[in-house]
Amino acid sequence: MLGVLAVVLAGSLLFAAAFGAVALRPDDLLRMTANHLLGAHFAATWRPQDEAIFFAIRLPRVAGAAVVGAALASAGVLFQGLLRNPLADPYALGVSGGAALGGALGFLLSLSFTFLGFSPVPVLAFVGALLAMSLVYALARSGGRAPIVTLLLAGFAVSAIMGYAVSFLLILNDRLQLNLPRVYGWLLGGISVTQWSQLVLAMVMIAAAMAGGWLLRHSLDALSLGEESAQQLGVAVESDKRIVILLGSILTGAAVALGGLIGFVGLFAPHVTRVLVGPRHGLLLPAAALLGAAFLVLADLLARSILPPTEIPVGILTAFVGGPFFLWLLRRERRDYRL
Amino acid sequence: MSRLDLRAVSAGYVQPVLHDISLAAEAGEVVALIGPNGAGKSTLLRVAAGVLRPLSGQAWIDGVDLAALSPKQRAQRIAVVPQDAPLPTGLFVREMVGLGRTPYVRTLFGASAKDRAAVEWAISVAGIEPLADRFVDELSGGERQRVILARALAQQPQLLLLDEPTANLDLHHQVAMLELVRGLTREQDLTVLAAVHDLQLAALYCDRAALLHEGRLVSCGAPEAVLTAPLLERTFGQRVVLSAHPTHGVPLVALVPNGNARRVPSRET
Amino acid sequence: MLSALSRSLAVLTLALAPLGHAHAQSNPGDFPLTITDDGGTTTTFAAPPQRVISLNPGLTEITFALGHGDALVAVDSYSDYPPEAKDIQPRLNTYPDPSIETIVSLHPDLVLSLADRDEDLALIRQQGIPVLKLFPKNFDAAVQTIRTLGQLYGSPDAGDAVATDMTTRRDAVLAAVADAPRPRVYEELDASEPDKPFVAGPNGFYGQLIDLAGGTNIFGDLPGDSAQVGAESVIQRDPEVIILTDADLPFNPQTPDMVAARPGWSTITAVRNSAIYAVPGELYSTPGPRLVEGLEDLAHLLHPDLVPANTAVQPVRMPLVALR
Repeated sequence: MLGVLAVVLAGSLLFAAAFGAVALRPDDLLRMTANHLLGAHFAATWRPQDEAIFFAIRLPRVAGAAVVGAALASAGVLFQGLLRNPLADPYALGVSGGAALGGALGFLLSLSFTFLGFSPVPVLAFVGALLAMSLVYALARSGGRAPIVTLLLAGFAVSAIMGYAVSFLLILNDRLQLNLPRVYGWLLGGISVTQWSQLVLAMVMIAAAMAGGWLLRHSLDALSLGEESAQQLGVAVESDKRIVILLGSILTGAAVALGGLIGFVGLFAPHVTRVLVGPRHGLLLPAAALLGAAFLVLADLLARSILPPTEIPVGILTAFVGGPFFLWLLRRERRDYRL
Repeated sequence: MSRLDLRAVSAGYVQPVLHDISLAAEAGEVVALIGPNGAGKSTLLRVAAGVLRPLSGQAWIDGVDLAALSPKQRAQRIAVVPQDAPLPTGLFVREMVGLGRTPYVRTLFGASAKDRAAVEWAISVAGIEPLADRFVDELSGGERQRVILARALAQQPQLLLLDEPTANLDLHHQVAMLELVRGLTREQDLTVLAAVHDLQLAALYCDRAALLHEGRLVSCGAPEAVLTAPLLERTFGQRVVLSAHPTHGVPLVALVPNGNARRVPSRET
Repeated sequence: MLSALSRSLAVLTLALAPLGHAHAQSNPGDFPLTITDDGGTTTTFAAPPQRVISLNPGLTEITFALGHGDALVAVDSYSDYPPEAKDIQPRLNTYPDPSIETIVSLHPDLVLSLADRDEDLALIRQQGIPVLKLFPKNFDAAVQTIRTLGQLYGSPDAGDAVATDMTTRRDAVLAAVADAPRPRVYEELDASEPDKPFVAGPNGFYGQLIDLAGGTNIFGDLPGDSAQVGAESVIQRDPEVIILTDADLPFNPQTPDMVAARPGWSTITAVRNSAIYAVPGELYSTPGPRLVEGLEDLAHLLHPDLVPANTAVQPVRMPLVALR
């Protein structure tokens, strides 16, 4: 099954690279790529603009979508495993509010640094995401333990409060008001990769976090039996929970830095994958990453080519698929589905 | 040296639930924990599992202080069959039993041949081979209970803790479960500490009984010594009459209610 | 005969009301004056208003241009042209909604609004305060708004003067570029995400000015005033001139160098020819007298040999980045 998913991802990548707002001929693309990668010397049957579009705009974008999709799906698996709640998603523990607030501050403070190609907004969104999650953990923790229900409630509360803080900032500040469409557009989510350095940094972080999550697969499997049973099976529950939260926040933070708050991928990629490969995390983690990557690559393809030349925030498209899925999941919940 | 040795243990969550409990269990014996609801049976099991640290006193396993062991080391010695634990969907029986090897599997390489062998052994010992490739959620209550027992056995423990193992089972499966447990204890030299609320089953299947009341160990010893009418009446607040079991000779517990229970005139006047 | 004419004029103008051009119906300079605003509401004024609240910088600017600036008792927080407008107190925040209480407590006899919520405006009108909702969508509508306000302020001659000046200069530009080839123009409104910039569409002032100034908007096929497009499309459509109206934005201001450095943009004709210009955005979009200056500025950039530079146009304020 992993092989099937890998093929699906490869196919999606090729498909998405071939299509976009601008029509490029596939044979031209092949020759361009051969020139670039293999040092071939095909005569150019294309305009220099086409080559610029393919290598400088489209490829980083498609790669970014794959990386973000994989990160969100992995984070979704981790949080659903940690919180034993099928409605958990990467933003469950305060991340959506924290990232939004960080991003809003990035808009507000008119800072002018770039960090490896990232402008202030994604950097602050990343920081905000991690800070929010630490806050949630600190709030939920008492006596050395952070019970899952408390984590969920604290996550909801922190996200809500930070979200309203963003609205409050918007009211108070002229500068933000002038950028209203931009702020909301960013909040709706959209892959924004302008330099390969951004991608490389994000990929390193995401790969490392995914590897860490995979090494924890046995603990995650045991946690699905409940914290007490997991403890009785030898899992160091509290410290493993902390590690999972840290890895999940890195994955989500990196995803938000590259693509804003893209919803639903982290919720339903794990669920769909679970049906395909079962609940054991050893398979679930890589499979969900592959599926999430393929899904977001295709969703992003739609976002940039459904109404050319207009760009639709990809979060809208994932919501169109994810919303009905979410409802279906809720209905299924009533029939005693347990994670 | 006892397998399990609890010395003057007081334990609880906010307030102490257990007071000054001293209890030892040997290899190869089944000890039943009996007592009314809220007496502290589950809490005592948690202490024995090392999951709940005593507020005072100590818990030892095979001469080693439980508190000094890491969770993994504990899990390689002590296994628990819980009363009501969440059950994830979509797991095969073999996978569920495989979770019992969590304290042993390698982080990077996963399950070894030894782990797989232990799983197969646990499945066969628990008598669930025909179920091995089915989904756990599709099984009946009795079958599921066996699967969870197999999972505990896959841990290759020396101490097996059972919390109301027969609670949701019908008559046949109750007996079957305890038959299995007692047989295993003999064969594998296990120590079993089981919270049981059916006094008759306790009398039939345990070597010793420990009677808990309001967090204190009221009596501990052979069932004949513990299951006495005055003790049971005081502890459970219920009158009983004890006689001898017709075939096995163990105490036969008869309830003597006062109220609306039916009476059938006795043959002997 | 005159009354029949004015009646038919009234019918005609009322019929035209849905087109959104505010207009007054009466002989110039005569009061009582009946005005139908762009929202379709008709109000009759007995005399020129003396206490005016303007909730939009463009309407503030028009008021000053008509010599009626001293009638303003309050403006919105963004009104900063002409410089005297900055001194007007109180300054009202219009996001998310203006404070109705403050507005009412100032006893205005006219409130000018660009497009606030109808419920808010209804509340103000219930207090007996006339509200004019004015949102001109193109050059001619902006000119008409100036004329209307000129009549309303009792200075119809000033209104006509400004309007005539604007239309005369606009016609001059049209004539100058009439036969010239129309270069492909890309006008950028916001590039916080440089791979997905906000651009000017065909409608709205930005797009219309490109048209009037003798250019071809490469995104003239978009349905609305503006849209967010992918950089692929910009590169594909290969503009010959790039106009940056986002050079003086408080966030992510763009410079021509930044645009030239964007990955993949170096193949664009405008970038190769360094035809990237940062312009003062408010001249291109504020529905006021300076709109014609924006037009002349743009026409000069597109056709430097046909349209002289307008020396009155202020240079673009340096982006905040460069100030460090």
